[in-house]
Amino acid sequence: MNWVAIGCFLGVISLTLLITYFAARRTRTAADFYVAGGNIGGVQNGFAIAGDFMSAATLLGTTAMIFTAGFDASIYLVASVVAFVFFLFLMTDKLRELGRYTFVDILVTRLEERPIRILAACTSLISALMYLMVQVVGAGALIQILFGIDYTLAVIIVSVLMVTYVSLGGMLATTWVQITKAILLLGGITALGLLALVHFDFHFAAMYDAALAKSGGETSSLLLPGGLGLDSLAALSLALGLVFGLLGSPHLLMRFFTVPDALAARKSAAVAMTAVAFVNLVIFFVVGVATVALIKGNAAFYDASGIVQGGANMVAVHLARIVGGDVFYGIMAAVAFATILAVVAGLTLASASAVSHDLYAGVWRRGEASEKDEVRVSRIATVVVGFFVILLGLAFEGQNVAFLVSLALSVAASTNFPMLILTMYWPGLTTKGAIWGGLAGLTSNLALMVLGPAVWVDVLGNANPIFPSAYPALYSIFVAFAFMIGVSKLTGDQSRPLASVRSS
Amino acid sequence: MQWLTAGMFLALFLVLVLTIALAPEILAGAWLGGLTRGHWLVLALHVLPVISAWLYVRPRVQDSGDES
Repeated sequence: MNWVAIGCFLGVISLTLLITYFAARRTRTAADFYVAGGNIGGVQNGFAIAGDFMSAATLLGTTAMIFTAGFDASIYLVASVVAFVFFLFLMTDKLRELGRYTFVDILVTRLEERPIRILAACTSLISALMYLMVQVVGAGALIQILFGIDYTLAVIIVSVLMVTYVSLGGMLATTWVQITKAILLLGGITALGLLALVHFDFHFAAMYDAALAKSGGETSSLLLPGGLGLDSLAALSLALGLVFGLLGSPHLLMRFFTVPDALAARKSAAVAMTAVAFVNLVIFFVVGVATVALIKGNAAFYDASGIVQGGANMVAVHLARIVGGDVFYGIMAAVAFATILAVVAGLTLASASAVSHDLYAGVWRRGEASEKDEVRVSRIATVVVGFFVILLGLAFEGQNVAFLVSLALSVAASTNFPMLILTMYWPGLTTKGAIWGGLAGLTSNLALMVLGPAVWVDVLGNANPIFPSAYPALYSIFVAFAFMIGVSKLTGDQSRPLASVRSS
Repeated sequence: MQWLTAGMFLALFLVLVLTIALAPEILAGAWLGGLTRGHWLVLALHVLPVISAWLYVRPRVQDSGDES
């Protein structure tokens, strides 16, 4: 039992609950609940976006990927920066000007409200819930290893905390939890990188040489790409799925509605991009390399079966223990925990908003629900989402759910992103085109994923996949765009011009 | 101009991705300062977008006098 880790763990929980307490006192209207009244500053929102975006997969998963696959992990890192380029240069202004509470508000400025809200709310829910489930399953396993808490209890703790933050404090609490997490993560990863360099007396070349010596010298995957074994189509599909998936992620899109104007929205994207790029570079050039140099082949960190203790995802935390001792290990464990809490809070709020704002207020009550009713339904939806997440987390314990991350992003890339970008930039998009394209993107993506090796072989136990690639996004994105443009051309011009729904 | 900037960085990213898949030895070749071409490309794809972002945002901050 690491008492520093337990202390930091309790400290993070206390701090975030305190934030929720103060946020709850200021959350009264629907605008307060969904978008913190639209009064978050650009810099704060930038840190919150960074906190919302950088999940445990960034800190632990990417480091693990460098440890196991070397240079190819750069695809995951660069994709996030390119996604923020698109956010900043092409989307922030329109998101802030046209959006209100969810990204679906932008679609319905031009397209028929009921069918679009139903489809987009469902695709938002599917992608957010998949992402949420992965986070919670990963969180359960991580907390179990870091703190010695039983998996079931760990899943319940994370779910209860996320329901508490969102149902009581809404977007304001979620924002400040995410800002706190971003600051902890930036500080933690900087300290980890510096301590790793101190371990090598700030001789960057010596650290690289040690890593290369452990991983095959000149043919090391740290230098020679190919560790993931991707062919050109799979690599393209992975890359486009990651970039467009992030651009269609409801929990990230929603954050741009929390600022007062387009300038603050742009500034948010620039701050978030800077924070994400900094963390990526420290992980790619220092932390990842240090894990190879200090952990690969080190018997103290391998179990009897030759696997890294706790799995490859734990190499960043093992590195913290090597370079900073038990105290720093405890701090980094708490940072990882805070990382998970912030992401699940954002995803939960996006899921609850899809139910209460899009389905309940927009579809069922046809825009005539009172603000009080809408917030009440959102709080109920938050509790229901939390309950489902506990059930899914327990059902999928010990299962390989890594593929669900790319599935969640590729669903968003094949449905939300094409609808959103065409609504913003192509006047010819019609409601029928958006519906057919969204459905085609969703079904082709799910079908190809099920028929591919990630589900057909790894989950269902068949010998060979029917669809050869584990990365279907390239094909389903093409199908979505083709149907949206083709059906829109066939059905003629039925859409309205873009019109701002915001008075400010 | 915005489309051009976004398209340029997407194109550079796809060059990185396709080179990883098709010609990894090009990226593995040593270049400046002991880093490989691949390392420099990854570095550029993190630093240049951030510089472009702040150049894009900065004049507008000054124009409006806003510091949100």
